[in-house]
Parts: sequence; structure tokens; C-alpha cells
Amino acid sequence: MKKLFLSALAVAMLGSLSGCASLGVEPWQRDVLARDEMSLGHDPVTAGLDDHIYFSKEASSGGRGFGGGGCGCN
Amino acid sequence: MQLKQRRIGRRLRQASQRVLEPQRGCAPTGTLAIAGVIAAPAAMAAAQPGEWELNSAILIYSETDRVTAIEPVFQASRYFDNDRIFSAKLVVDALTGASASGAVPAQTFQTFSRPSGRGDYTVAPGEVPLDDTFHDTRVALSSTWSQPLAANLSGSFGLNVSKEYDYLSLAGSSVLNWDFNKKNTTLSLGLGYAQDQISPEGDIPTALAYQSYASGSDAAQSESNYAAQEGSDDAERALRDGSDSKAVADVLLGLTQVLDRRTLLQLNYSLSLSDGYLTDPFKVVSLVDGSSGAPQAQIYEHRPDSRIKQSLFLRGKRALVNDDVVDLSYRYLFDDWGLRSHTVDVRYRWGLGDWFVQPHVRYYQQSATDFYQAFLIDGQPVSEDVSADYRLGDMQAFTAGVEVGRSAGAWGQWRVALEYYRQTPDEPSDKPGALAALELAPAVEAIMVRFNYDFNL
Repeated sequence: MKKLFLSALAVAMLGSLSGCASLGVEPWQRDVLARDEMSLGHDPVTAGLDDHIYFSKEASSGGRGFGGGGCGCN
Repeated sequence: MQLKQRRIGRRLRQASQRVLEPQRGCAPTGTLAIAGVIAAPAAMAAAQPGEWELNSAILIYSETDRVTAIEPVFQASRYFDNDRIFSAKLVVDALTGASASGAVPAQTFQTFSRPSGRGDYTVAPGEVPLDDTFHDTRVALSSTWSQPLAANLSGSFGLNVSKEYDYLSLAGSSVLNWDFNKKNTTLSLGLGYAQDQISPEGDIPTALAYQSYASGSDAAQSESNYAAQEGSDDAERALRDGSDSKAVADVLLGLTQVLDRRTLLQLNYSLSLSDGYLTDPFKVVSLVDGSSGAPQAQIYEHRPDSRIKQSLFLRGKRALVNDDVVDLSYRYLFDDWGLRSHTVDVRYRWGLGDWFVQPHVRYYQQSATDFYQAFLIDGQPVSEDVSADYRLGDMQAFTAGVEVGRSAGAWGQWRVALEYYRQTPDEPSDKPGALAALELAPAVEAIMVRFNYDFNL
């Protein structure tokens, strides 16, 4: 199951890479993407607070990126 | 990673400004692009080299009858020439209130030992046992340095220290980002390592050992029954270690792709390996009578000493024609404890000139870990790993909230959010005797209020 999953992921990532050449914009078309609220890292402080709450209350954590340190969180 | 993404945003802004500058007033496409920039709310200018960007927030999290947390955050980022950024963050987390111990409710009064072994508490019939001595203050300090490493390669390196009364976590992480395809595609590799130490009040309980416990038809009787056998766990307590530790290694592979002028897509694969003491020293499991359902005793829980967790995270962000922004993400997570979870998160940022309103909805669903059992039947064999912590059981959770803020102004940006969070654990289906009439896993509700304030110096 795990192997299958990993190979599916590898295929998906390679597939998207080869497809990438035709995707995207020219540098002068980045006006909208350049807005702060379009950044994927927009509002890291809030993301950190949310991650901490859900880490403490649910058995899942992470995925979005790296952040924060461990805690006892009872 | 988040810092890096912010830097991409800043670089994009600078790039578009550079590109737009010579075009002003000439080509129609240039004019359109300028119109796009000007029409967008006049967001606070990104910090320039030599400036500080300061982000602060305070979160108040309050559960009905359970935990209350107040969490202030302060982050300062210093921008240097050549896209180099230093960032430091301080988080304080003050917790008070009560937390479910894992024990089941009963038709009688129940008296439990406090985790420290000093003192006890009594719970009324039908009430879910909550240990009300739960209070702690966590202080976390983290710092990140990020800089370009080569033409299309950048890196960020971070250190974290988090300290509570009974817990210490030291962590380091690094993320490499490789841009290509005119910076429309970014591949990320993140590596993290954390070493945690727990030194709980009352030391590390022996796995599956009996905890002092008594019950009675009224509170006084329950407490006198408890007093009669108090100290029955002294021999076990004498054998305990004062602390234990765990190590966590994380790997993250990420792909970020610009799809078009208004759309970004992100795909992350994460692998997390934990090794060491993963048990919660304050949680117990009730042993109940197989026919009457009455609790007979409590034992300390025990979890496996390793965990391999993997997740796939897919996120899309799109600016609509009216410049509102839709942010949609989905995470599938699975581990070798038998847990599977799905998380969907949607935010819609509705721009209103200098103001914005952002509704938010999140849905979470998890299946139980293999060793989760709401209770054990007294007299039956107990497996090596068992926990009655509802957070490891079948559960759904729902969050709904709204954030309102002002994204412009000489004095920085502020915003305030109000959110409602509700967890609904599944009720066990095979409750014997009197237990069948009791609710073992009630819903947990929380209200969150957050205020953020950002400014540049």
C-alpha cells in the first residue's frame, strides 16, 4: 500500500513537472499573484496559532509546512 | 517555508514593479497591469532592506467547562539586502481548566488520584471525569534565517525551543527551495528534527499500572473509600522514572506551481517519524464490569513507542475577477497506528476597499487508532498498547468563523477573527449494563477570538 502510494505520488509529481513548462505566467503578468493575500505564506502567525490548536485537539498535524516546536498539549 | 513564501511574494511584487516601471503610460497591456495593481487594496508596503516587519497576535481559546488558553505571539523579521531575512518569534501559551482523563462516567460518585499522586478529585454520577488541575504556561522561541544560495536556489534554517513546566522541546529545521520554469514552479525539500523531554508531575507512570481509585453512592462515601485504599500505588510510584523523551524527524517534499495569472497550486508530501515516549502520562483507561458496566479500576494508558505518519496536502489559491481570493486546501493523513484523517479548509477573502471580510470553514474527520478503546472489560486480557483518549478515537470536527480587518492605513494593519469549533467524537457502540445509559464522549465546543496587528519599522 505504502509503495503503491509513493510510486503514484512520484508519477504524479513527474507528470506535473513535465506539464509545468506550459503552465505559468510571464514576469510582467504577476500583478495579481504579487499581492500579499495571494502569497501561500500569507499570515504565518495565524497559521501557527491554528496549527497549534488542532495539533492539541486532534490526532493529525502538519502537512501545510514546517513550523513550531513540540508541546505536552494535554 | 512560510517565510520563504512571503519572500516569493515580495520578490514577485518587486519584479512586477520593475517590469511595470518602464511601461507606464505606453503599451495597453502595461496599463492594464498597472490598473490591476492600483485597483488592488493598497496593502501595507512590504518591508524593504533595512526595515523590520512586526507581526503580533493574541488568541483567546475557550472550551465550555474545559480548557481556556490565552496565547500572545510576537514576530519580528529584519530584511537585509539580497533577499536575506532574519526572523524571530515568541509565543506564550497560558492554559487553565480541565481535561478529560480517559476514565468513563459511572452511575456512582467516583474519586480519582491526581496525576501528581498528591490529592484526589471526585466526580458526580453521569459526569465525564475531568482532571481540573490542568494548568501550564508554555514559552516558545523560534528563529529563522533565509537567504538565496544560488541563482534559483534558496534556503531557510530554523531553530525552535519550547518550554513548559514539565516539557522541553528543542528542534531544528531547514528548507531548500528550487525555482525554475521562469519561477512558475518551485520544488521544496524540508528536513526537521526535534528532541523532546517530558518530566511530568508525579513522574512517568508504569504502563497499564493501576491508579488509586474508589467509588461510592455519595461523594463522602466515595472519598472515604478512596482514603481507605490511598497509597495502594506507592510501590509502583517508587519505581517510576522522573522523565522520558522522544525524537521526531520530519521530511517534506513540496511542489508549488503558478497555473495562470490568478491561480496558484501547492502539493506537499510529508513524512514524520516519531520514536520514544509517545504516551500521555496523565491519561487512564477504565476497567468496567462486563455485565453491570460499573467501573472497577483505572489503569494508565500506553501507546506504541514509534509512529510513522504521512500526509498529502493539496492547496489552491485563486484571485477572482473582482479580486476576492479563494483559498482551498485538503489534507489526507495516515499513520501506522491505523489513523486516517481528511481535512478540508476553505477561506474566502472578500475585499471591500481598504477593508476585508473573510469567512472560514473547516471540516475534519478521523478514524480511530488501532489501540483506541473507550474502556476495557475487567478480567479480560489487556493488550500492550491501549488508550481511551478521545483524541485517538473516531471523531469529526467542524470550525466556522469570520475575520474582519483593515488592510491599509498609516498605522499598520489589524484584523479580528471569531471562530467556533466543535468536536463530535463517536460514542462507543458496545457499552455494557448501566454504561449504555451514559454519554462517554460528549461533544467539545470552543470559541476562539483572535486579534492581529502588523506594522513595519
